[in-house]
Amino acid sequence: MQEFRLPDLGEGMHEAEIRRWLVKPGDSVKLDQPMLEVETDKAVVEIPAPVSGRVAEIKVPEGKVAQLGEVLVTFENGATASSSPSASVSVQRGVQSDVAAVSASSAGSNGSGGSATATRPRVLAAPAVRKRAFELGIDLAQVPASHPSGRVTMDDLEKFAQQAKAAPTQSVQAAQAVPAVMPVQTNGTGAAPAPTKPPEAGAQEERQALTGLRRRIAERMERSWRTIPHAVAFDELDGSALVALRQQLKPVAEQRGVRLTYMPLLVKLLIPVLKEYPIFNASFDEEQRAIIYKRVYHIGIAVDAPEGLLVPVIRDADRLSIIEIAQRMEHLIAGAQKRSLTIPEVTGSTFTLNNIGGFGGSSGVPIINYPEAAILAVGRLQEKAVVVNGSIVVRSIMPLTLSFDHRLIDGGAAGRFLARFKALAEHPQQLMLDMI
Amino acid sequence: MVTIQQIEDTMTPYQILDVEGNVVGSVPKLSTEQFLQLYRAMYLGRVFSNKIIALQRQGRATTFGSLLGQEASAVGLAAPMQAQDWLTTSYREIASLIVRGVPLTTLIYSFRGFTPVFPKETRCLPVQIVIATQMLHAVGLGMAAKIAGDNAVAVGVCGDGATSEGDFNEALNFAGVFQAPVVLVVQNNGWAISVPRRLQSAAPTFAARGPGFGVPSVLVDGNDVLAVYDVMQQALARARSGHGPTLIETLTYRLGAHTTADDPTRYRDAAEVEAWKAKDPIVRFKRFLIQRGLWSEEQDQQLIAVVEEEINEAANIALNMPPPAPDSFFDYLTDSPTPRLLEQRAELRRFAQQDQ
Amino acid sequence: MQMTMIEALNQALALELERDKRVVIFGEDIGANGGVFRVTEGLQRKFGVQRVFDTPLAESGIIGTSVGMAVYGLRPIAEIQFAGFLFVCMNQLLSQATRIRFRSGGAYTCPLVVRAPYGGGVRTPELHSDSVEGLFLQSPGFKIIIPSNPYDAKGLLASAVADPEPVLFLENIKLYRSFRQEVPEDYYTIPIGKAKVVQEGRDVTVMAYGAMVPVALEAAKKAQQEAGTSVEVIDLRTVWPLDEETIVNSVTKTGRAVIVHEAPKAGGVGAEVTAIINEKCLFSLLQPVARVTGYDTPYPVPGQEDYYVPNVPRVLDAIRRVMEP
Repeated sequence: MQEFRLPDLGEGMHEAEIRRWLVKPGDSVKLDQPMLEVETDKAVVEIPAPVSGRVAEIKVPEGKVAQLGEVLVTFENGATASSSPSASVSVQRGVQSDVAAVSASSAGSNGSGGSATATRPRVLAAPAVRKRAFELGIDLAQVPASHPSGRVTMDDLEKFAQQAKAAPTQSVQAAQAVPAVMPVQTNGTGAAPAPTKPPEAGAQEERQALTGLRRRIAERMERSWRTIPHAVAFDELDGSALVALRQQLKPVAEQRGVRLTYMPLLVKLLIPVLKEYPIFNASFDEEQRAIIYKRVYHIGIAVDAPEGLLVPVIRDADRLSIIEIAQRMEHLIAGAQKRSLTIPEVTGSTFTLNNIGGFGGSSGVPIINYPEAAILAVGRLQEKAVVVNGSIVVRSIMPLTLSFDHRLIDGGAAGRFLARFKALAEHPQQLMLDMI
Repeated sequence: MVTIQQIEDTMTPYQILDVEGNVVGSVPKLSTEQFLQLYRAMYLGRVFSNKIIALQRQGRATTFGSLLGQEASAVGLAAPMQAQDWLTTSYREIASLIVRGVPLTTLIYSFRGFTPVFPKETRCLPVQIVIATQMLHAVGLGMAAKIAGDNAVAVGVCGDGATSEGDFNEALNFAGVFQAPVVLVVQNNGWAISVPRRLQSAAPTFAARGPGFGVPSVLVDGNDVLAVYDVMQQALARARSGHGPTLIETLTYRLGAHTTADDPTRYRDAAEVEAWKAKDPIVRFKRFLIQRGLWSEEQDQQLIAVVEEEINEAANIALNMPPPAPDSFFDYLTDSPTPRLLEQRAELRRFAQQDQ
Repeated sequence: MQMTMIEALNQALALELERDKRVVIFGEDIGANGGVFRVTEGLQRKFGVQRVFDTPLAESGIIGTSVGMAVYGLRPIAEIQFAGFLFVCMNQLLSQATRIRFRSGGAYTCPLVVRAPYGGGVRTPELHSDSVEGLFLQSPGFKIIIPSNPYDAKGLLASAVADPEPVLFLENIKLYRSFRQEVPEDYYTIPIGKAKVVQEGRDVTVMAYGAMVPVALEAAKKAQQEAGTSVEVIDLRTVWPLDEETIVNSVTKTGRAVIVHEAPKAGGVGAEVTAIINEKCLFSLLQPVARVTGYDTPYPVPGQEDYYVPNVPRVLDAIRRVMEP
């Protein structure tokens, strides 16, 4: 009997969820034949068969989480292996295959891939409350606590259970903070997948275990909100120059096969501001109590994928042209929709940009993409009445919301950052001064 | 065939003054002042004992064991002790404590139901409730003095009931084995609450117990203060000169109840009590002093007034002393409280404040 | 007939002496004097000095000889004048009385009942009020009974005498004469090891024994009045072995527990109850188990004992705490 254990797929992972088995017991498989899909930190990874032989037993079923080194599947005697199972490298759909190399290039990124699996602080709750939560299938970490100590009471739990039952698809509205979402082409609401079992006739409630991307999002939001003292600065910019610029550039880009939205422009405008205010492109090492200033500029772009929020990363955005950024973005967004992105494509961002303009409100307050220092949300470009030189005029106004880590950044710095970004966005031609 | 023998006890109680106060032995060489001090101390002891009982009946004092009838025994055993000597007692030797210098106010304060602190220079251990344990403590104090090479003697006092406890017997044995400089005094007042002397032990006397442990012993008339004083003085000298322990049995009588919670009419004869009243230790000594020309009835009247005044004044002070803080007993436990103890102490304070 | 606890116990002892010729009763001052609390009043007169007798002043002597008597075939009921003096005979109690059966592989048993008064709030000298039951939990072999009322006292004493193994029967001084209750005059028993739900309730379980039962009931009444709390009060009656079933059933129902005893906190009956709740119904708990007990100091002097012994305000405070959401 040969065992195959979950290998280390990179970026400090500790566990992976079994997304889909491509084989079943009794099947004959050939070496390197795609065997199963696992999900780690928002990237889906396909694992090929380590041996040629007959599948004996699937040890970890779909939907369950396996730990690093845990036996996933066994093969009957007589299976031949060209190399030991642990040496087989997962072949990733799409781009590169050498995870280690990618890890090296993203050195300086602070292992954000591991945060989803890092130990969470334990929620305080009495034994009876825990038991009830378990019965209801509710993660206590999600339940807002009324007690000042942060302890979740039975009342809190029951209330939450009621609410969850009443509005299961409006998790975005019900949550304390609006998660950063960008609706692009689709109408994805970012809701959790529908329950797999139909509710029993007359049942008072449905239980639905949190799995997959939704669970990962929950863990990250929780980590960010609990660890980082968020403060928020607001501003608005006059988008007239941006509107004009885009109008001029859009047809030229299309000729080159690239669809130009505002986002690539905003990314480009962001870079000089990040260089001028490096604290915004940093993160906080909680254990060592030190600030880590990043020398690279990997901009995360929040994408509203069908299964939930994803943040693909434009790496080295400071070395890409606007059109290159636009190309990258198209690719990343498409990949996010199809869940085909690789680990390096969804990790390592040093700053995140979030377009919430199409959501339905005019602006919102984003949650920092842990462990970054800040996140900038841009809202919907809307015509508004504003005062210029004492007269009321109509301008296209874009709301800005900057959430920042108040341990590292004070209001003054946030204000200055926004003012600089605003100044650049309102006079984008200034970019040319530093253009090489 | 071996003869299993019972050794007959031929001890007669040592006596200097008979019940009438006549000299029948050799009077110790004391100054007039010393004689009078003995008298005053016995008197003070009696009045003080009665005062505490009165306070108890008034609801101002807790349970108390009367000294009535045992004044000569209590005073006689303490008076010849020196400043460096130690004293361990039960709860009925209040006159001994007074002779050793424990203030009246301290004693009255303790009977209010609070923890007293005897001045350390008196070298008196706190009053012992658990019967006979103090005898082992006395032997230990003596053993320590001997080891340290000091000139101190330890005196342990208990009652007839205590002789049945294991600790008493172990104390005698240790005293003998280690030749401890200790004087063990059994105040045989005839009763252990309701259990009479004859049911306490089959031994003819308690003094007879000593030789069984290799400890020399003496039987003395406990209502004859001069006899007790004399015997005590000799025993202390023996111990101090390295000749080891002595067991002294004083024959006396508990004229009052065991404590303020006891009714002795339930278990003993009025006639017996009357018979012993006729052997009153204070009356006998007063007669002796008057016969010697050292005292007069007039002085006696004055003394009564002086003693009462002294006691009432002490009572006044002690009854008006502020009570200790409700949580002060935590201090008696340790100097270095654990966090757990501090929490408990704070809890007590919280509720005590609520009461106010 | 309306009886105080003393009268009920006196009657129980008289019944035992009548029913079984093997029963003997002894201790200090229990014969002619009828005991310092009069529990053995009149028994020597009625049953004679062979069966009801005074002993010399020696606790170790009392217990040691009673072990011998019990092994021989008598059924001794020994009185230790105050529970604080049990310290003097710990050796005979814990290395002898509770071990003779163990040591002899069951050949000999020790059907001994040790009775002793305990309990605070009565202005006694040192060591007359101490609660000592916790010490015996750590040296298995004694059943420990602490009744809270005359009716239970009589029935439980009968069961104690009938029990073939050593029983420690602790009688609360404050309760001796504090109230009268209807008690049947004939012989009856109450099972050892069964607690009693004195008052049913839904919200919180308050467990107590001895003089703390009336305190618990009073606090329960106040909690009901001030906050509408429905308190279930359990009189443990036997503190060893504990009635785990009754305790667990109640706490499973209420999810909140308070245990009250005069004895110090550390290693007491309350600690054992808490451990049982932890093992058997932890997942029903909505709040930690609260212990309202004496402090971890020796029992204080009469002038300070009121601050030491748990009272209604302290129990009520604990009820409020465990009633938090």
